Amino acid sequence: MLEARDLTLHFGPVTALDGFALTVPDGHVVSVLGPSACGKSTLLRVIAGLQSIEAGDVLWDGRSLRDTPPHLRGFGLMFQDYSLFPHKTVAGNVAFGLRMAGMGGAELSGRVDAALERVGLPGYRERSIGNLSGGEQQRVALARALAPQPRLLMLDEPLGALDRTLRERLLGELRQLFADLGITAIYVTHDQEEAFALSDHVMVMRAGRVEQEGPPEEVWRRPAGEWVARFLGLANIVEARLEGGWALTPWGRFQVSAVGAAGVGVAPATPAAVLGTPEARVTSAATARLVLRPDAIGVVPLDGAPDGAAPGAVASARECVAESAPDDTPRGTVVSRVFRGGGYLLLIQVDRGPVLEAQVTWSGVPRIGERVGLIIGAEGAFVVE
Amino acid sequence: MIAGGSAGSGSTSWRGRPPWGGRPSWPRRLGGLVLVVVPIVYLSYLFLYPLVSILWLSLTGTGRLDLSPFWQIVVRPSLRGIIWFSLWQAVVSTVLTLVLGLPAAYVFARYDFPGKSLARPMVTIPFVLPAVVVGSAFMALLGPTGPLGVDLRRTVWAILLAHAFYNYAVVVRTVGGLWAHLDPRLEEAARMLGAGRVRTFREVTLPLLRPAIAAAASIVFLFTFTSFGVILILGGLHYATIEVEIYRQTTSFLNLGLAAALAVVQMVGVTAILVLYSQYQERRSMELSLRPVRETSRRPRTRGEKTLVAGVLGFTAVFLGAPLVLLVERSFHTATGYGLTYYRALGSTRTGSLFVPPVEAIRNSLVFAVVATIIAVIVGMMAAAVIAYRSDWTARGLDVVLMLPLGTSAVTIGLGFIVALDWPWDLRTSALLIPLAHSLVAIPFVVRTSLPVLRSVRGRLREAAAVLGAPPSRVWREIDLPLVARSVLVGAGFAFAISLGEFGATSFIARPDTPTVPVAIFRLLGRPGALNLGQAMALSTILMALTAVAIGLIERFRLGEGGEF
Amino acid sequence: MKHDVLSNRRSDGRAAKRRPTPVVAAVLVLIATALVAVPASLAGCGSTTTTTAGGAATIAPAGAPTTTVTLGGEVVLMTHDSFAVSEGVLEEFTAQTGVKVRVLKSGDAGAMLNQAVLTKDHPLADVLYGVDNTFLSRALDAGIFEPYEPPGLASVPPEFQLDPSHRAAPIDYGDICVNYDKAAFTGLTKPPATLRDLTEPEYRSRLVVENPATSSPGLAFVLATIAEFGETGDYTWRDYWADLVKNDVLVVGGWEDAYYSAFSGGSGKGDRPLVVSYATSPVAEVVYAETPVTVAPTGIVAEGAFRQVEFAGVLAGAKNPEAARRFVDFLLSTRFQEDMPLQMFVYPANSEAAVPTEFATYAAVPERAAALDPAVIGANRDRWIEEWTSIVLP
Repeated sequence: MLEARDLTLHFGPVTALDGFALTVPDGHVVSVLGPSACGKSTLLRVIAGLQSIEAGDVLWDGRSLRDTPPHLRGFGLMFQDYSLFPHKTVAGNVAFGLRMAGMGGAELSGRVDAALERVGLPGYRERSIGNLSGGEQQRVALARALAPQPRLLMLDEPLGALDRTLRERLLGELRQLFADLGITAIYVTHDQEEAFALSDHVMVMRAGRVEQEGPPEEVWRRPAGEWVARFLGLANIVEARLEGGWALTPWGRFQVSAVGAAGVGVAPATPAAVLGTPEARVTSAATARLVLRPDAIGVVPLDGAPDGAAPGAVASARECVAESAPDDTPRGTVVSRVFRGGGYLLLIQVDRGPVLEAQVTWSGVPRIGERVGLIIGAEGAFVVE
Repeated sequence: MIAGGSAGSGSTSWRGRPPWGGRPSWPRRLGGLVLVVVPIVYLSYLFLYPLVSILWLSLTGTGRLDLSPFWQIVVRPSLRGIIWFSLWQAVVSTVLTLVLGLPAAYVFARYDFPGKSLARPMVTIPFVLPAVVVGSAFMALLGPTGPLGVDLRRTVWAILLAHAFYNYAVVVRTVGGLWAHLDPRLEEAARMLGAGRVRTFREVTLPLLRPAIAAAASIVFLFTFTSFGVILILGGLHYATIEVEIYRQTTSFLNLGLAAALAVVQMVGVTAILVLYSQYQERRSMELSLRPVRETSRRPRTRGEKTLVAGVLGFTAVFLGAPLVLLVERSFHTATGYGLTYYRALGSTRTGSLFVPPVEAIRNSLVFAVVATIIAVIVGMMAAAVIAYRSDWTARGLDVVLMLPLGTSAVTIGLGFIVALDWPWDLRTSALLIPLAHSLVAIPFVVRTSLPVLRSVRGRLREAAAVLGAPPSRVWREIDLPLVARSVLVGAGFAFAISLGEFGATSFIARPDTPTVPVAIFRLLGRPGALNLGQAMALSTILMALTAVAIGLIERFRLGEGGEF
Repeated sequence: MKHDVLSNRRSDGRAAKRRPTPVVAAVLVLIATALVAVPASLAGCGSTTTTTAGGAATIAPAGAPTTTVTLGGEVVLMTHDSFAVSEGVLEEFTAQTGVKVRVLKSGDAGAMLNQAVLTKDHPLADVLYGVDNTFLSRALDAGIFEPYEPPGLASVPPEFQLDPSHRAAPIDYGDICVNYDKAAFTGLTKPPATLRDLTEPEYRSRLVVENPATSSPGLAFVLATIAEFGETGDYTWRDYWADLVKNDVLVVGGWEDAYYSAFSGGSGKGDRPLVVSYATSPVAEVVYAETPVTVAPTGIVAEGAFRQVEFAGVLAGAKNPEAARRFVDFLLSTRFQEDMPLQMFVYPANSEAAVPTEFATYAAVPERAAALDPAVIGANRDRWIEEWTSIVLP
């Protein structure tokens, strides 16, 4: 089990790690999710022993690794740009860790072949690194890191340079691989899809510290704060003033059932909001924010049926909530309409409020300029700090 | 002579990717042709033509071609012994220099320490010093009263150590230059895979450094194989290289035939090594991802690192510094205590050793050095471009031929100039001949120090620039040039230092009276008297200072935007 | 075959794999150049072949008054690196004759002679000065000089006029002999008086000499021993050198090394008090002393000196032969001859030239200096050097 406590590191005026803490139990995959330059790669380097820290400690099974040099830690690191040895063949690269461990001869050869098989590159032994495509290199890098069977595998944005189909496929393969091997791993990425797909525990990192952590669904459903919400792609965030059991926002009044405090490691807010009338605007600066999920907004055309749909139908990414818009729903005008493959992304200018995003299916979609009403389900709205 | 068809036509000779992209049009073809033709013509006229002329004349002295001197070499044991000695002392000297210089290359490449920008030029100073001067310093140090306490004068050890002293800079700058750009992540990957420091070095760093190590080793070998002054002075009489014997046969016995035969043997040996080296480089070179130096060097942090840096720097300071400090000390140590007597004497011609005050010699040296460096950088970069980007025999032939001046007898070439260079212009007694001769030795340095880096530049970067709209010359200027600028600067620095220290061939030609500093030093040492000796020491000190300043300035000069990328 | 690391595709590889090897390429280039260039250069564009070929040639009548017609142009003097002259002296020649002087320093005497011989069809200069008696026969045999008898020869003692056909005129002379460090011989040991003394035990490990193959004073010293002990008899020069070797003589490559690094006297920083050098070296020690001294720190061993005479001559095929002859006259004139001693530390051949007082005070001219016929030297020099090498450097 890996434990990192209170890691602190500065590069001059820049804070790379700010009291970061992390625990990876055996057989689990933890992903660290964050934007570029938040310190993710530095974190891996610190755990690997390639970078020294000002404060804090890294422990394995309770014993500090402070005095253990990188090559004796038994960790594997898959670099962002693979860092394959250009002067060795594929086999030479994959065998490297095994040779360092003293293996040789037939056993070595067998392990190399097995590793290459596992990543789907049988017969690539004698190829030279310069001849490989990006996907092939990624697999070789993976095979190289896996071959010595490290007790902890760290991956630094391994899928970053690949095209979408390849990425999807490899994502699936990686997941299967991790499950098959029962591997303990830390996966670092800026892509939430990868993080959610591969790990049991997600840590959202920002400027060297943990903003939120938890199971992937948790983090996804209930971001802990405005920043995390934005990072996860939730763009519909407005100020909310809390009065009584209501949140007053530029998009209308929402009934709030509970308010939680944002913060690291604390359960995020789980309010259930119910639609209220779009009355008073929020005039004073509020500490709370209302977040609306784009895919949980029902868009109802007000001027008659949109093309190709039955009259009175509702365009929504989810099951329709109501057949018609009650009078007290927020209303707005469609200002943008982009086809996204799976559906449409609409930008709707709400009357007396800011623009919001709505993701809808690809039938019955209102056109630009149409007036619509918005139905927001309880699951789709919540309040955060 | 030139590759069939014009250079740049189609894409086959230029490795599928000419340094500029795009369809070959006539200005680009012309450019490609110029790149190939200029170095070839330059080397042919200034080097091959005089060389062949003198060899031909020497071997046909009696009217018809007389190849009996070659037979003499085979038959006479003394001559065979000389050839054998030249060979093995060069190998040992090369290994010794590598062993001593690699740690310093590492420290300079990977660590930042105070005074680093000062230390780098200092390392190149020994290169400049005339053998006469170094000889006397080493004699003092290696004598029974010297710090070692053992009398090593006139032994092989004196020769080997002096060789290492002279060529230290070649290893540090050439290997260090590539090392500074190696991606440290490759080493980190190795460490993650369980390799300790030593194994990482052996398995990852060393193989990646091989091109630069081979380049440095080839230069050091050439210099030590054809070593002259060091052998004469420090070796006592029992040791002679082929070059020394050529000198003896030429100037003492006037036996040009035997001298020519020996020169040919020397060149064959040199060519063989160069061909091997060139094949090796072709097979082994690979594209590396190079990092800017900013990223790879850092201050030493752990105690182990600090000790290492301090230790290596300390050794370097002592090894290179002791003879230099001795010279400087002697230049200030007058009969009446420490003073500037000798320096002041330099301003006048009281001693009458020279026609002109030695100060003018300094000016002459600087002018010649600047001219020689400019020529060397221009022709050298053209040659480097051809060698790096073409893969046919033009490139490989050029690679071998341009290294030859380093390994060819200076006496022979000097005489070759006299014999050949009166057609089409009479250059034989012209002052221009001096920087031209210097450039012959300087060009290989420019090429050798920039080639490993040039070969490693990723083609993708060039293509990216081309796609962004950069015309061919701009691709070179914006992409390749900054990346190799650093090594070009190293090469230019060497060229400058070599010119200041005077290439051997110019000692054997008829020079108009524009003495350079090494010539002035030699003449001052040509007669007895404390004033003469003191002035020689003072001039040597000035020579060292000049080199340090000049190289320091060259390093600071930024090509384009940003010196290090 | 170099592929970009990130590329998903191969780029075109080298087209042709089979090419002639670089060695063949280099040889082809060499041969091509030779075939083109060598005949062209040997055809000698613009070279003039001359009339002298060692046979009888016109000799300017001796004693003819030198004309005072001013010539124009330039005279090129080719000489060795040790040439030195005071400021203004050459300008006097220009003032007298209207001819400018250009000096070419051409290395040591051997290198200089090589250059002159190699370019005799298209000489680099008009006058060659610096051939000494050990090289004279070679120079004469190669036919690089044109005969000229300068009127100044009348003042030169006959023993220096070693070329009866007047192709080379003697300009100066000096003696090579053993110098000793006075400070080392203040006690009971006296400095050696003869050559033979140097083999005595009290002088063991005290002498340093130069290699005759690479050093002119070294060669002169060996010639002195040959002149002294001869080639045949009970005790030949070979036996002498064998004894010197037994007496731990140190042999080094060149004069600078011997004097400055091995010799202990004067400005030398070594540890041996006996060195083969010039008879005028003690004078130089005085003249070039930092702080004035009244006594020279070194002395000479008068016995066993070898006389070295330097010659100058008009080069055959010179561009400006008339000016060249005038210049040779000038070299023998008192003006130049009196300037020479303190510049080059040699004695003037012109007996009418005065020797500076420093020389008189601090230098001693060895009474008996050995001399060998240049033709004899020329014929045997190589053999002598080989034999010496085999005795001293086994």
